Amino acid sequence: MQANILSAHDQAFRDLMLDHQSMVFSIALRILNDRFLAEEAAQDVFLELHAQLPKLESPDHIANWLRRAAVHRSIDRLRQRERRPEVAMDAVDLPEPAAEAAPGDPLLSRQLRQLVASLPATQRAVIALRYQEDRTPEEIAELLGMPVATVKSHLRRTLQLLREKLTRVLR
Amino acid sequence: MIDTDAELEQALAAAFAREAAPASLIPAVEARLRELVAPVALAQPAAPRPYVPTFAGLSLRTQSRWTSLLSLGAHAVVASLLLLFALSQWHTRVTRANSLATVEAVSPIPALTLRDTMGGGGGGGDHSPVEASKGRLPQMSKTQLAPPQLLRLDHPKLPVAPSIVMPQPVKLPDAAQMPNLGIPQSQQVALGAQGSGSGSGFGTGAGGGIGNGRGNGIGPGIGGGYGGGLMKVGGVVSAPVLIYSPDPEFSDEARRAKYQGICVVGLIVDAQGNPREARVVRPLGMGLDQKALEAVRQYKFKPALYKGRPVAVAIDIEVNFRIY
Repeated sequence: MQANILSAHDQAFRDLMLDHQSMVFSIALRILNDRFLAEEAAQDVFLELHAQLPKLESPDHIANWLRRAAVHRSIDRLRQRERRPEVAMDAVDLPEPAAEAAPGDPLLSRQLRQLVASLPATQRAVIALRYQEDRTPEEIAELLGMPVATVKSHLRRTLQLLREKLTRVLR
Repeated sequence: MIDTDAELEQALAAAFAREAAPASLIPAVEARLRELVAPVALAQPAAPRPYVPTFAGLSLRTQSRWTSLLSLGAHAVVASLLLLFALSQWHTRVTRANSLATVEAVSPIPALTLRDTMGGGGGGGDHSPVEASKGRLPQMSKTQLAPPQLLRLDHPKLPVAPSIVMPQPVKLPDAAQMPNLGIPQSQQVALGAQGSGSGSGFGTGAGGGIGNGRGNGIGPGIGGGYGGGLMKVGGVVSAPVLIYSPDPEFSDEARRAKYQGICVVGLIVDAQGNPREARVVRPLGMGLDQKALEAVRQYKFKPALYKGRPVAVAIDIEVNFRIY
């Protein structure tokens, strides 16, 4: 058992972490597909935040910085590991969603998450930033350091791919 | 059925909701930050800025042996004085002094504009059903050896002048002509009384001071000194040091569920190093919050210091329930 006494400054940083830990962890989780690795990446992000904090000027600036750091740290970590083979549809032993599954259906949601998890890292990041973090393509482009056109192209192709795979699974 | 891109996008938005971060994330970050910081006292920040935390771990200042010996000696002298005084108080009460005089009205205690590290206050009484009587203020000193009270013993073996704690001398309105101690602003002159508070002292609060606060100073605040606030660690106020911390128990629920995490407890560490008013600031659940409170209530601290004097501070404590 430990008991630690927090100064006002420690408390302020802790409050920052409380506000943003879900976002940082979730971005890492979508890219890494591994809760343990995602937690490690999230820790790295917050340690870096602590060092960078004097340069950050506002809550929005902090949130944006955290999004960028979460994506980049996660992609870095992913590249350090061996590349995972894409999961073949036959090997996925998940219960299939019903043919009339609507958006929000839990099985469908899980299916989509699995499918996205089988995509390359950059596309996972784009999907997470677009649908989890609600960023516009322009914001995603700025976060990932790529042209807007590339982001839109990623989104288009990913949607197409998902529709194809989904159709195959759902039939 | 997902027929259109719009429906697919809807499905994706539904599928990609954020997930809660694991409870171990923040403690792990704080543990790693502590490892990074060198274990010496960090320089005090010049002025408080938002979003610039300095993660100052608790540290011991290095002292020369001479200073340590001096400190030990001073502690021994004070400790023995306290012990002798306590022994001298082991007598039944003899009489209540009842000699009151009529005096002029005394102006009320002026409101103090608090600087951000000053705070404190005091209160006291002796569970009397009668309001505290009018009297002069006791002398002010940096530490309190005897709380102000009505004279009980005519000739105490070890006379110790009653005092209230004031880290810096403050001029307060006083009824200096009165022979007995009391609250200068009180209108009650009929019956010598200390008021409905507790801990000796005068008033309706607790703790051997004067007023309706808690502590051995004056005023509605807490912890000695004069004012209405409570000091916080940081700047010129050093952190209290935990010297006794019994382990909290696990609740059955949590033990069965192998549930662990951190419960943050807010409390006041008074100028004697005792925990007061513990309350849960960030709950953990599964019955562990109650266990955390029970443990914290038994903690003992070396009190926080303000300019070398012990003061009460409000702090938060993490109680970490870990299953090894």
